[in-house]
Amino acid sequence: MRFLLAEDDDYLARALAQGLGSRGYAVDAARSGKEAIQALSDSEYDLLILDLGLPEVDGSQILRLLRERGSTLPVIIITARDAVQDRIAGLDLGANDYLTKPFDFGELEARIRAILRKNVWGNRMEIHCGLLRFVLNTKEVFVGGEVCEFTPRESAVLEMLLSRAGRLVPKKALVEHLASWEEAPSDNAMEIVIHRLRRKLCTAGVEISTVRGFGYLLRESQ
Amino acid sequence: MRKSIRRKLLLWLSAGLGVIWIISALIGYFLALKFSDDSFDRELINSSDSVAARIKFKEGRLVVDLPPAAQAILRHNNRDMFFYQVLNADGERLSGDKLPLPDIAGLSDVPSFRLIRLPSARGDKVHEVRLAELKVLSPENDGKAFIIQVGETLAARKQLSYKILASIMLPQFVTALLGAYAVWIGISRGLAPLRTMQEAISARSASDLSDVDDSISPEETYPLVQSINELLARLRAYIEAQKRFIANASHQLRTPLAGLKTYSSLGLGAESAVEMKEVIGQIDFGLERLTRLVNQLLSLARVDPYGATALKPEVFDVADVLSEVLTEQAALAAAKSIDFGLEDECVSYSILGDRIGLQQLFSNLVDNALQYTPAYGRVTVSLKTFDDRLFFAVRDTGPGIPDIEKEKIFERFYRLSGAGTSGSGLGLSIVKEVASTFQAQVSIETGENGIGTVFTVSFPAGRRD
Ligand SMILES: Nc1ncnc2c1ncn2[C@@H]1O[C@H](COP(=O)(O)OP(=O)(O)O)[C@@H](O)[C@H]1O
Repeated sequence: MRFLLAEDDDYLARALAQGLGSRGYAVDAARSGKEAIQALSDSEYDLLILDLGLPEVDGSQILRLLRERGSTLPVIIITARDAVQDRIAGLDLGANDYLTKPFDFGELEARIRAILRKNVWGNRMEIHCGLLRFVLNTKEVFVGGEVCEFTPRESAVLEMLLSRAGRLVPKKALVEHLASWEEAPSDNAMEIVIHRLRRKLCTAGVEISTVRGFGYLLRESQ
Repeated sequence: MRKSIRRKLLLWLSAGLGVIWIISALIGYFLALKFSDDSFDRELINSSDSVAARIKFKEGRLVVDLPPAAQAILRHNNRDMFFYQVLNADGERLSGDKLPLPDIAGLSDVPSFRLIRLPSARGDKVHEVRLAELKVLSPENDGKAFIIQVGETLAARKQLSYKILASIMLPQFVTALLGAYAVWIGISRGLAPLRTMQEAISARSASDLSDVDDSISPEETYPLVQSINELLARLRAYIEAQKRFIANASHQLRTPLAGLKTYSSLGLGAESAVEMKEVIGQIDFGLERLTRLVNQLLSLARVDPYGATALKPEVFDVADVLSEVLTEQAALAAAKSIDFGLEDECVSYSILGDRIGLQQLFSNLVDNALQYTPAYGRVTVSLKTFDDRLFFAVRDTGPGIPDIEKEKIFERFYRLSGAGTSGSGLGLSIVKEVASTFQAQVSIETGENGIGTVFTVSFPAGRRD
């Protein structure tokens, strides 16, 4: 999952990027409205975390622009403005959620999960595939009742493959969704991740097949 | 009791009306009394004529034939006693009651009047009696004359005079009362718009500071309403500014708090001591920044002209304060390898004002110069007098400030983009507020050769010791 974080305060942006990064999300940070617009037109994101008080281009303008272009990108507004009218205005502009600073990081995570669950998983809480059970909230993976340990990156790749189980996921999309600007995982690194996943999931009744030079596909083993 | 226009007007009016009432009543009374006295006196003359007609010669003697029945007729009313006396020219009494003798020589056939006091028959009372006296020639035409005196007590006259007095005073009194009442009503009517305004104002909610409707104000109170409206306008502007400030301040406080909360929950989930240490480092950094922000907010509140703290002016040495600030800032300069220096005339200048405020002014300007000047730059502070003014200047070789921003950077929370994370945007507004408490002016110029910035603060009457 790749997020764009549009927040002009360096400290908060760093904190959020670090926090979300440790939960396995890839986060790009934009410090101004302009940067955010640029990033949105350059890359594909799964979620936009948007501060309203951005320099150059205001957050609500970005949101309006986004919705005018017909984008369905989920948006969470984070702002210091806590008046009810502000909330209403923000949600009416097309935000999916609205958090007032200072918010609890756990709450932000929960709201992110809720939005992704709805958008990506159609409100399911768990994914079953073969003997594998993926719990979306905790990102825990069970194989036949036993917990299976993964690194954040492995877990992120697995999540992406599971979200499109039975369909081909292009390697490029996978890389892009996992990458943040600082550390773009190479194709090589991706192959290593896939290799580890295959090993850990050998008893799970699922298989990850490769379409060489193009992508991967996860499905129940026959 | 509060002064009341209505009561005051009424008081003055009643006093005036009262005096007029008494004077006019007195004048009317005396005039009426004169006319009534004249008519009573005419009756007395009639009586004297009747007495004269009764004087007859009988057997060579003069007799007055006035039987009691005739006497009763002579009395005009039954409340008063009637007296008469007939004398011959020598003053001998011929007939009638015993009355005091007149001044015979002064009498003529035109009656003269006087007031006498007459003891009653029993001697226990004294009657006031109006006496008419005249000299009549004898009916025989023998050249002899008589003197006739007729008199009556004053009961009827007095009663009439009371009636006259009452009939003058009462209507006038009622007129005066009606006048006062009319004035009272008139003033109440006149003041009614004030009451309407007052009700409109008291019915307002506490936050309603809109102008008072001056369309119904009478001319006399119009300037007052105008000044109230001006005051309200100033209050509105001030509250608006405060609201904006609070909104900004809350934004400025909430954002770093959100960062701190995020780090603290990361800390709670940290699995290793190294991770934990890193998070605590970040929290420490965030707290440092928040502390600075809060301090800046407090400094600003301190110098806010409407603020709660009353500044205590004192006389102090400007150079002392500056050296304290430079000592504090030297570490930052060293850390950035900035060539940091002071140019001054090595004298002390006393100034009267808020010492802490001035220290904040210096340290904000010096701190800005050091913050925004890149490493290996140059920052020079100077303190000089010129033309009876004291000039404090900070010169740096930093990025400079574009002309269009030179006004705006003094606004609260205003920061140039790319100014970094550590500032709050409050520093220069503190500088401006402090400067105004010293009646000093702050100016910004671009540095030599278009590099860097020069901030100059010019204080009036810097005194050399
Ligand atoms: N010496 C300087 N050189 C360049 N820019 C400056 C200087 N001093 C102030 N500024 C600019 O003016 C802005 C407002 O300054 P200030 O009110 O002191 O707030 P802060 O320094 O906390 O951001 C700063 O953000 C900075 O962009």
